[in-house]
This record gives sequence, structure tokens and C-alpha cells, in this order.
Amino acid sequence: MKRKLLSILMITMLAAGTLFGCSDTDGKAKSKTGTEESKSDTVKTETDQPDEQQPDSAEQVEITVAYPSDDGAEQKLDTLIAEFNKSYPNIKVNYVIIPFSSWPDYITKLKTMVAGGTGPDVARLAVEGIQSFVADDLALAFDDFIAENQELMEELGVNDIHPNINAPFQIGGKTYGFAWDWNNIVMFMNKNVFAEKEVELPATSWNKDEFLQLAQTLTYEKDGEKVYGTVAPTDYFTVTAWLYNNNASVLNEEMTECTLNSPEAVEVIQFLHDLVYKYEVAPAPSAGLDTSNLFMNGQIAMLGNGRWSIASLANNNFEDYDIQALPALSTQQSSFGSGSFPVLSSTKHPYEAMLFSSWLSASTFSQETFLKTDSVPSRISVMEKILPTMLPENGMIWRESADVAKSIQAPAELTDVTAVFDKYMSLIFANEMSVEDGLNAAAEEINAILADS
Amino acid sequence: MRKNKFTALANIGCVLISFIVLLPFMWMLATSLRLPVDSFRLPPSFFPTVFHVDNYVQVFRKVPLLKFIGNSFFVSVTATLLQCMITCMAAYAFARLQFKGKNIIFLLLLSGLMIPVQSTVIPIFMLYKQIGLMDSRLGVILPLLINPLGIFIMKQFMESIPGSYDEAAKLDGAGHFAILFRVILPMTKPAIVTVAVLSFVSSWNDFYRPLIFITSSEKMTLPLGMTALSGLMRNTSISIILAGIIISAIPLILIYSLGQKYFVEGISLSGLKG
Amino acid sequence: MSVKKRKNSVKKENRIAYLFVAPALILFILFVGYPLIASACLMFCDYNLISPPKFKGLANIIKFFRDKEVPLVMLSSLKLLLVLVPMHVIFGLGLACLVNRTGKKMSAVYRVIIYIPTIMTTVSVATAWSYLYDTDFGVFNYFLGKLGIGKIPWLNSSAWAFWAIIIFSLWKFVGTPFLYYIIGLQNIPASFYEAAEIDGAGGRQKFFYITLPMLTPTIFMVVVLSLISYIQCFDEPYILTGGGPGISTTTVSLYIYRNFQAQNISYASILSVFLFILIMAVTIFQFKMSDKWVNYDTE
Repeated sequence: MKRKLLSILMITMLAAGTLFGCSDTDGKAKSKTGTEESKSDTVKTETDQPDEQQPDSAEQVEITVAYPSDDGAEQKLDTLIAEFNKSYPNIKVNYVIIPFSSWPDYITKLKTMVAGGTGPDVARLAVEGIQSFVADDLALAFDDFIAENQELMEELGVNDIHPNINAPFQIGGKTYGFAWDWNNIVMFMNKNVFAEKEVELPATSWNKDEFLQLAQTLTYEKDGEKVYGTVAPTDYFTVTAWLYNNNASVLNEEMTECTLNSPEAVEVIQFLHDLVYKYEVAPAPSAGLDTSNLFMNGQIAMLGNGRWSIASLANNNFEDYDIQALPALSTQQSSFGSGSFPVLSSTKHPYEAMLFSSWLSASTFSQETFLKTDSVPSRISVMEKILPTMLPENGMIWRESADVAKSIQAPAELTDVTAVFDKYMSLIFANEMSVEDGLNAAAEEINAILADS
Repeated sequence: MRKNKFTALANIGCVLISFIVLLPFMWMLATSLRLPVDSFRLPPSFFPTVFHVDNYVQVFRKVPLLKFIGNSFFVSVTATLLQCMITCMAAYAFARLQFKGKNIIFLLLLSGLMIPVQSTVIPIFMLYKQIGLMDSRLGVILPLLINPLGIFIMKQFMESIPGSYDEAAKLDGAGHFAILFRVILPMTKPAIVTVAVLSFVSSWNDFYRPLIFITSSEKMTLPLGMTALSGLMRNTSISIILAGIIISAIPLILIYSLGQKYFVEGISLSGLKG
Repeated sequence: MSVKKRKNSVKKENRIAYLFVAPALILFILFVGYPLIASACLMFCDYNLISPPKFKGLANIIKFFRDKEVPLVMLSSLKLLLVLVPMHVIFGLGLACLVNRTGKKMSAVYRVIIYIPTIMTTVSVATAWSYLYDTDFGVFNYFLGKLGIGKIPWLNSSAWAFWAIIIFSLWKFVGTPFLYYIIGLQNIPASFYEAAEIDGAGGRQKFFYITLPMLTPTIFMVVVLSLISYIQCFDEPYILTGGGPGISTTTVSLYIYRNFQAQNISYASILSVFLFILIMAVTIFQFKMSDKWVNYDTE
């Protein structure tokens, strides 16, 4: 009796589970995300919106924008949306803040939202994620929108955006958004520590040896407290900057093969490793290290960082710093990563979403208010207006580097590539694998990932 | 004589151990009151010497901490109340009623203890996607309503209550619902308080499911919110993060101190010890 | 009562019983039973969360058995278990015995204190501990330096990261076995000890011949529950080490989550089903073995 009951229960559940789990090929999931309808990347007509490109001017439209969590993000978004509504009162913009700890994590969360049917219309996304979204058919192309709204584009200042900075969002000949901000890695220097040791700030042309010498001079102990000359980076973005300076990179130009184990790359990683273990001018890398506060406190003299960090410096009224390009290794090739506001293909209001996205990315108000103490603005005129007026004094090197900077490599598989990268970097810096072995193993795994897709 | 010596020694040992246990908390408190720039300054402080209370204000500005706390309360209180009701009803059925399949169902529910959260999370995710419960607090609450250990504790405890009380109530014409709520439950106070407190704490600390189900800041519960806070590492400092951690610990300590005196009684009389 | 009346009242009791049990049972089926079965089904599909699952047969399972990382992850989990469970069993017992000797009033105080870390949110305190463990700026290494021992790369080396998690877990979770032991100890009738004293038994003998045997049911329960809980260990490695360096401290649960993040849902499903089978097997094994050493008499 008991057995019979049990077995009937099991069979029923098994049947139900199988039916639900594996054979869900009907259009249920698809119609929710609307991916089926945007096979071609131009703005398609939604079945309930006969007018493709013109907004229904009398009607209230509601769209949602997703933004990563950040200090004061809500206030900034409120200000921006209020300003946007002055010109476009019929578009109501809601925002949803997604907790941010790293780009791969944010991208996963965003995709989870879309998978769960709660995806936004517009989402902040950096070069780190755009390829993946385009590959998954999750982003809409702006080309038709641009073609039909030339005047608006001019008005918003879209054409003022630096073309090099904008390039990562042009994929396969189509445009998926306008770059709003960008960052590269420069060396921040604590002037107090330099003064303490009576050393001059370096010139742009400084090289590896001069850097090392400075780091060694600036590593000392004062009143029982250790001061470190610099910090050895282990994250993808910062390490790429150093790699570029040695004519090396994580992937080859076409992003089809991993070049992390090239002799030039090995040289760079070995140097970074030596900073910690051979020359002892940098602390052991740790995710929880409060490098920002350690820098302000004078416990770290030189820190590789992006312009986003000046927000925290400003908040703490710390002004004794300046920046310089990273030291030249075999060359000096700055890297950069830019961010934008792509429109997701699940949107029901593509016109309004693209309008908002363009305004957010390009308008003077948006760039001048939000990006004053944050990443570098993408518009040339805005850069030239803001950078000279704000700290750091040497801020214009950002404007100059925009002309020659090379984008970081962010293929569609970036999340997986970064995972492998982080894994082996942690092993290398834990001294459990030699630099060469670690990078060889990493290259092998990354090549497998690239080959798989 | 010997007893006193032992007692004294034991006390010294326990004081030492208590000190060690509390040391990290002392450090957390002291460092949370330091100026952000000084947060990593050595030597570390275990007793607050600076009182930079602004950190506690700042943490509310960096993340919607109030919302996190509110969400956690909503989830934990709702889950605890509902769970207690469901658990007590089931426990009563096992303790007092006879019915077909009683043992199988009991074992089945108890087996829930052995099923790791990871084994169930993804299909629940897919389920929620279909019925629209993604990114919702209700979605977080529902799985928390299953408490096999609670059912076990309550059942055992109820079984230790003499059936004469039930008989008396039946004579007065009470149905099973009335017997459960008016007679049995009041007598199970230690057990039910224990179950409620433990359930509240584990709902509050639930991390894995919210991690998967919740994607927007608005709906996050406190543990999830804390990881968002520490993820802001680039633009904040550990003093502020620690302030957030201390704040998030307060409700737990309060609930715990209110209910902990029942723990020993509740668990022991339910025979859980063996 | 006539036979019919009895039958009716039995039926009525059945109905009411089912009513009472229904909520728990329905929830169980929806949130435990069905998901488990669905996970088992997902093992045979390819699913990336966005498009519907596609049936793939045994392809993923074969991949699972070929994957070199899986045995490493299992090893990490196993190592953690083999150290943590005995430590909890023993430390919990030691602490409980110690606290039990401190007299009624004080023991209540110590009980509360020792249990405090256990109720804290794991991720919050783990975050704080990750700062304590920092190699160059952390508090632990500061004191180790003062003692002349030098800096230990707590979170930066596979070997030490393991111990970092162990020490943290011990501090955080010893409260639970401790509590159970205290209760177990309190339920040993004092008369036993008195009788033993009359027979001239010393402290050690009392412990090994009375305390320990009487506590075997408690010890058994602690072992079973800690095993179940630690096989699923997720919060600690996630926050303290992120599973690293490399994957040296990646437990099975963390690995499942990483696969979820990478949208390898089928992999995650295989692992989670495996986890369940493991827990069931271990628990059943323990119950079978319990007859050999657990003593339930109270006489």
C-alpha cells in the first residue's frame, strides 16, 4: 500500500517535471522577451504600436532604465530624469538600480532580469558587456533611429562624441548606442608622499626603470607604519593597460586567440609579480584592500586608477594628488573602456528608449552634471571644458589620450574569459604557479572558450 | 572544595573564550567609528577612540540601507509568522491525529532537511519566471515556509503534552482547530518561541536564494545589500561598510536576546538532543 | 460506537489531518519535490536562462565526468568537511563541558555570548573577517608580526585560505553544537554522577563512563546536522576567498553558483543533483551506523 502510493507520487512528479523542464519549445518564453520579433536588427514594429519611428506625442509612455549601484546614483538619476522631462514630458522614466560589484556580475544580473521577464528598456552597459548582448540578440541597433532623426542627433551633440571612444559600440557595421563616458588607467600620485621623500613627480615619458626606482624610494616605514610605493594590479582592466604598454594583450586583434602567454605578456606579469615579491614595493593583492583610502592616507604613493576615483577623492576633500600616464615599457599605448546606454530588444517602446538613451549619452546636461567627478566624458567639447577646470592638474592627458587609446578587449565571452584570467592571476600571485605556467594554462583554457563559441 | 576550584578555573577559561569570541565584534565597532581614511591604519583599535558617527549616516546614503532593512523585516516577519502556523498545524496532525500515510508524509517532510538549497533553486527560478515572481519578496518568502526541523521540534514537544487536555477540550465541544490554538499551542511556548526565533534568524540570514532571485536594489534583503555595499569598495571605505554591518546586526541581537532564554527549554523538552 | 460511526469518525479525522498537513505538504512539493525532479531533468538539457531549454541527452553528463575541475572541487569540499565536522563536534563538546562547570548564573551569560556569532549574518561577518585576514594591512598579521611570526598570506595562498575558512567557521558556527551539547549535558541526571562518586569514580572516569555515553545521541545529531550543513558550505568561501586562489577553496555549492553565473545551467543541475545524492547517502549511512555506537538508554 505504502509502496504503491509512493511510486504513483514519484511517477506523477517525474512526468510533470519532464514535461515542464525539457520540452518548453513553445512560444511562451519567447513572446515574453520579444526576441522573436527582432530578428533583423532594425527597429521593428511592435504589434500594438503601428507607428514605428514617431512617438505618440499625446500619450504617456513609460520606460525603465537599469543602472548599477553607485554612490549617490539615485540622486543623480533623479536630476537627470527631471531635466529630460523638461524637453520630453510625455516619457516617464523609472529606474532600477542593480547592485554592482564587478562588470561580469552586473552583466549576469542584467541577463537574469531579462531571462526572468523583468528586463528594462534601457540599461547602462560598458564595452565589457556589449558584445555579449549583441551576440545574444539582446540589444537593438540604432541605425534607423539615427537616420530618421539627424537634426535631433545634431542637437543632442551626438556628433561631438569622440569617434574613437564611440567605436566599441559600433559592431558589425551597426550602432548600438552612443558612448557616454570612458576611463583609462593612469597613475595617481600622492603629492604628500613625494614631498616627504623630496622626489619630483615623473614626466610623461617615464619608463619602467624610473618607475621602479620611484616605487623603491617611496616604500618606507614611518612611525611604525608601512608606506608602499605602489600597488600591483590583478584585474583585467588595469592589467590590460600595462600589457598594452609592452605591445602585449590578452587576445589577438581579432579576439579569436589568446596571447596572454606571449613573451611580452609574460614579461609584464612577471614585472607586476616582482613588484610584490621581489622588490617588495607593493602589498599582496587583495580584493578587500581599500586602496582608495590607503592612497589618500599616504600609505600608498602611486596607484593605477581611472577617473571614476576622483569622486571619492573629492568627497574626502583630498587635493594633494596628480596623475601621469602609466610608465612606458616597450611602448606607451593607452587603453580605454567606454560605457553607454544600449536599448534592450525586449523593449516595447524602442523610439522612446533610444531617445532617452541618446539624450542620456550625449546631452550637455547629462555629461556636464553627472561626469564632473566621475569617468571622462565622451564629448570632445565637454572634455575640453571640464578637464582643465578640475583636479587633477594634469587632467588634459585624458583628452589627449582619447585620440590614440586602444579599447580593451571585451569579446562576447568576456565573463568566462575574465573568470579564467582571475583564476590564474590569483594562483600566480599566491606563488602557486610560476608566471609562465600560469599564463600558459590560462591561454589554453581561454582558447578553449573562444573555440567553443 | 574541589568544586569551587573547578568552578573558578572554568570561569576563567570561559571569560577568556568569551573575550576571543567578542574580539572581532569589538574591532568591527571600533573601526566603524574611525575616519574612513584611517580605517586601515595600524595599530588596529578594539576600543573606540574616535567617534566619527558620520560613518553611520553615510552608510544610509551610499546604499538604500533603510530599504534593505525594511525588506528583511518584511520577509522575515512574514515568513516566520506563516511558517509557524504551517509548522504547528502539521506538527499537530502528526502528534495528535491518526491518518493514512502519516509516517511517509512525516519522513518526506523531514527529508527536506537533506535537500540542499542549490538543488532546488534553478527550477524555482524557472517557475518564478513563468508566474512572474522574479525579483519579488514573496518569491523569497515562499521557500522559507518549509521548516522540517521546526515540524520535528513541535511534534515532539506536543507529544509530551498529556492527552487529557485534549479530552477535556473535546468534552467542551472543541474541534481540532480550537484544540490546537487554544489548548496545545499556549503550552508549547518554549518550543514555539525557539522555532520562531530560529526561523526568523534563518530567514533574515538567507543569502543564496535572494542572490539568485533578486536583481534590483529595491527588493534586496540585508545580507544581499551588504554585499552590494562592500562591492562599492572603490568609492567607499571599510569604516562605512563596517558601520553597515553593525547596523544590520542590531535587529538580530534584539530578537535573539528576547527569545534565547527559551532555547534550552524548547529544544530539550522536545527531545531533540536525542 | 457502531462500526459505521467509527468509520465516519476515522474518515473525518483523516480529512482534518490532511487539511492540517496540506500547507506544509503542498509547499514541500512545489518548492522541494518538483524542483529536485526538474533539476534531474535539466541535467539532460542545455539551458542558458534566456532561451528555452534544449534536450541534449547525455552530452552534458559526459562532459561532467570528463571535467578536470570537478574532482578538485569535490576534494576541496571533502577536505573542509573532514576538518570542520570533527572540530565542531569536539570543540562544541569541550566548550559545553567547560561552561557547564561555571555555575548556573554565569553559564547563562557565557551561553549567550558564545552563541552570538552563530546568529549573525554570515556574509556580513565574513566581509569583516576578510579585512582582518588581509596580508599586509590586516589585524591578524599585525599581531603575528608583533609576536615575531611574520605575515601569513591568509587569503592569498591555497593552503592558508583553507585554514582561514576553518578558523572563521569555527568561530561562527560552534554555537550550534555547543547549544545542543549544553542541553544534552543538562539532561544527564545528577543521580548518575552521585552514584559514580559513591563508587569512587574520579573526574576522568565520570566523563568517559557517564557523560560521553549519555551524550552519544547528541553527538550523533550534531554530526548528522553539521555534515548536512557543511556539505552545502557557500557563504564563507564566497565572501572570504571567492573560491580562490584558483579554485582551491571552491566548494561544490560555490561551483554550482559559478556555473549559474556563467549560464551553464545544465552543469549546475548535475552538480546539485549530485550534492543531494551525496547528502542522502551520507545521512543514511550514518543512521545505519548509529546503532553501533549511539546509546539511547536513559537507565
